[in-house]
Amino acid sequence: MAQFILSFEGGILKLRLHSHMVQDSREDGEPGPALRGVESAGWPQGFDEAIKAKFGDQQSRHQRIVVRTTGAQGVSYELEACEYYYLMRWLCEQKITVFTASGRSRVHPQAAALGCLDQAREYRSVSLRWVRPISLRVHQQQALDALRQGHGRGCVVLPTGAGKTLLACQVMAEVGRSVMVVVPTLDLMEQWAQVVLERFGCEAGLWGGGHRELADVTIITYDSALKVVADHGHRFGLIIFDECHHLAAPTYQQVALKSLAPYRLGLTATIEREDGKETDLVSLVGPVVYQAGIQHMAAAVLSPYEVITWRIPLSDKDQRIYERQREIYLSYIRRAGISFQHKNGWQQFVMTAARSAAGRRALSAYRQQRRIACNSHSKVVAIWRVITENPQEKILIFTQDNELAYQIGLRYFLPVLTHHTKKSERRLWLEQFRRGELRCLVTSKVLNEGVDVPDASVGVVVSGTGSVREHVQRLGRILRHRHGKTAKLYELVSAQTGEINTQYRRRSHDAYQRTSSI
Amino acid sequence: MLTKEHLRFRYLKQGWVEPCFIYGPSTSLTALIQASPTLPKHTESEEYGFVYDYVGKLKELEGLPFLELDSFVATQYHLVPTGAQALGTALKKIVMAEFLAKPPKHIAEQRAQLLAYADTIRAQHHDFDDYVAHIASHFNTADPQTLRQRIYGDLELTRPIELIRPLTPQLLAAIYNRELAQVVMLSSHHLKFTVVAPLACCVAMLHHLKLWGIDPHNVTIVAKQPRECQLGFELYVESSKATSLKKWKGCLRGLVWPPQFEVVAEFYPHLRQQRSAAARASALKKSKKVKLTQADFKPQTPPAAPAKATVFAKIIGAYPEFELMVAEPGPAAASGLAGGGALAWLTPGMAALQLQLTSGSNRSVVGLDIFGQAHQGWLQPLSEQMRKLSGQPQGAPYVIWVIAQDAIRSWQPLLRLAHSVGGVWYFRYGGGLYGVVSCANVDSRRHMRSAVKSALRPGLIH
Repeated sequence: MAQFILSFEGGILKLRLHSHMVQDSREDGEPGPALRGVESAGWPQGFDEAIKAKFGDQQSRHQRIVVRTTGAQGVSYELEACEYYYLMRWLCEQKITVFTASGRSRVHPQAAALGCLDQAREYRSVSLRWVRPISLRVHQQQALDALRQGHGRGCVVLPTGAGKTLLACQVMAEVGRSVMVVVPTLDLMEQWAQVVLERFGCEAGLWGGGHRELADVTIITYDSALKVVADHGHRFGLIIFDECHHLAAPTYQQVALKSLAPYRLGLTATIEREDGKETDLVSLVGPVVYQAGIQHMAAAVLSPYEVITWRIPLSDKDQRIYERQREIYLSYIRRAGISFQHKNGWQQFVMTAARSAAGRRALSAYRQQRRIACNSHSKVVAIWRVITENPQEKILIFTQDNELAYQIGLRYFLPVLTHHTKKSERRLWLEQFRRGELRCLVTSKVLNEGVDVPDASVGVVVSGTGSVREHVQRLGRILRHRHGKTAKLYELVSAQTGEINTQYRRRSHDAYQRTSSI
Repeated sequence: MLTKEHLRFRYLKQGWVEPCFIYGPSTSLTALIQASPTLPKHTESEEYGFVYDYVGKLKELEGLPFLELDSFVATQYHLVPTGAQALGTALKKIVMAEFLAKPPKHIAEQRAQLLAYADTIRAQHHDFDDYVAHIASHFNTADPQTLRQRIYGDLELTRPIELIRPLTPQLLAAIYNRELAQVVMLSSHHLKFTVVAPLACCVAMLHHLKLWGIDPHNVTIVAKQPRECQLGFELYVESSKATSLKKWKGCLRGLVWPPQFEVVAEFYPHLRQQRSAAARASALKKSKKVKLTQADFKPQTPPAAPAKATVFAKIIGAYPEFELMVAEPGPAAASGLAGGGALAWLTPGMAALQLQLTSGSNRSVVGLDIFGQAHQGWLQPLSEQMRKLSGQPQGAPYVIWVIAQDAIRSWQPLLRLAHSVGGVWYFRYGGGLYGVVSCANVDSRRHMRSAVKSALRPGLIH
């Protein structure tokens, strides 16, 4: 008795009339007895206005509904798949009974004769049984409760080491639907698969890095999900976005938009983005339902910590070169009238610089002065002091680029982890670091996020960007809780250089209020 | 491990002397950044980052300041045909085999021993020189530098290839022989490639060849589909369709034709009618070959539907104060519009960014020549910018997008948005239907509308 059909086609929900209705209304021009209140065109009276009022909000970020006129089918409605949850709720409010393909139905108690056959949804119930049950800590329980109140949709922001993955496992078990876990790196994909195996005793399907397997629990990279979601986005009832700040990137947003999953969970330690697009996550995943900062959790769940800043002067020669290059760069900026206060100041500089020789010189000068400030020899020398002051601690040394990382590694005979490092060697070193056989690791960015880094107690930020996210992630690497541990984060900053401004920018986070400078 | 990004970076790096912005998705940018510790970079956001370096090869592309690092989005949606990917794969295989060797196992073992030993004694030394001397004596060497080499001595091997330098005709021939199609070596300096592929693919290949320093004069590309010739790069026509010669002529007509290319069409009028392979082979023998010259592509009356690029060039040519951007997945349209004053070839994502930048100034007009296929990944940032531009005050820039008839359907969501925030109108010109989208205030729209009308007169039928 369904009068219209909801289908999923290429990441789009299509709501169209059932063919027999079109036939009925075309042949005799009168609606059938079961279709009281239905206009001759087939749709119920007032349906068009109601659905447009609900989903046709022009002020919203996305064009939510598209009305198409097709030959025999008359008018049909198209929505992004992510609207499924809201569409189901709206249909229920409209007292329209929804039938699923399996024959189950959600009949509204006061349902009229109207019905919708839901052919879009193809996810199923799964029963994930604990092999190793977990007991949630207080903050995890609070996050879970908040997610329940949010109808199973929302983002949870917890620092590194606070147990986001285990919280997600609990959510997977409670929701009991086929689940897609979207992760940014292949490393994380493997880690998730390991956790699923350990906790539920089942093999997860992997998609990405040469794997192509869909299962009730599927773990997939963002890049692969872009390809897959338009065809398989209706097969998952729960979608979990790990490191969900990545999801707000314009292309990755398609993963959320084309997925039908009514239950959505976003996990991240740093939801803030440089471009401010974290606000998009509200429509893509759900609002932030629970957030606990590093300050809030320090000592209780994470280790207490202190941030120590060393301002290190450049050598005289470096200082001279630095100032000369900076002057070239700044004078061009002034001449071109570029303001970095403006949101797009940097892009404007890059684009205008390409169009003249002076601009290109300015770009080159910018790079040189920045390189001198970030990679100064004085900083490399200062690292030895950190090492000798913390002889028994495990130390992670972060740099902005691989060149500096290898420079440090070669000078002090330290293992360097970059993307060049073979997987087997990386595993070996991380394992040795975990066991305490290696107490120092140098890395550029590969350990910033997405890798399960063993417990360390000292971090050294030799150079980095102005990104708050990067800095908070690096801090999070040394905060895993251990009895009696006080973590230290050293920041090495070249004195009297623009790096000080970079440092201020990346520290605009409450985690950095507890500092001391030398 | 050799990745696509390494490969591209290496061959792009070859001989670069001018700055260039490399644009690409964050994953590729990150890989690229990590591939080269010395590469200066700036990434402002996940998706629209820049990496820039000295790029001399771009001079050949006539002042195009942007280079797309990775046709990621395009390949995701198969908009850049697989030929270019196949080329990359083939190249990768060869390069991997020829340039990459596995690092000797003993180096990794030595490194492990050395690092472990250094770790055990580090805590005992406050003095750095003592520490180094201790390690050196333990390993029986007087020179710590050799020890350092021992630790990371295999790095050069594990780093990406030293390219492909120069990419010899023989190597290219091997690539093509292995993976794609025919290569005929006419002389040591003259290669003839015959690659039967959709045009966009051919153009992508040509783009790569140019970056490798291969003289495009010696490249012959066969495009299968006449309609794809709209982008304007082709060169060698091979078709079995009885009616295609006329189509080819129509499509090629009006383009800014690079005079150095020899234009040849081989026409097999009887081929299509023959069903069996034997019959087709027989027909092929009987078929005529028609050689076309540049004169064949001069405008004739009545003209067939010109490419949207041509329409755009006319509009822009008539109004030099207009700024023009070409949003295309490849540089072909930019080249085709060389006479029209195109500023830059941009990927659609970059075009969105450019719009964003321009919206802050009082520039005249921003034009976007949108290529034929759309998908959400591009549509959305462009739509967002368009929506923002629509709110600009009097005198702010507005946008003109020329969309060809066959693409109008795929851009429907954008057009709907354009209708809601600005204005869209369609016009017939030279036998084709085009859409022009203009947004911003009413006065701007009126101005644009009259500009387009006068530029295209008398062909315009509104």
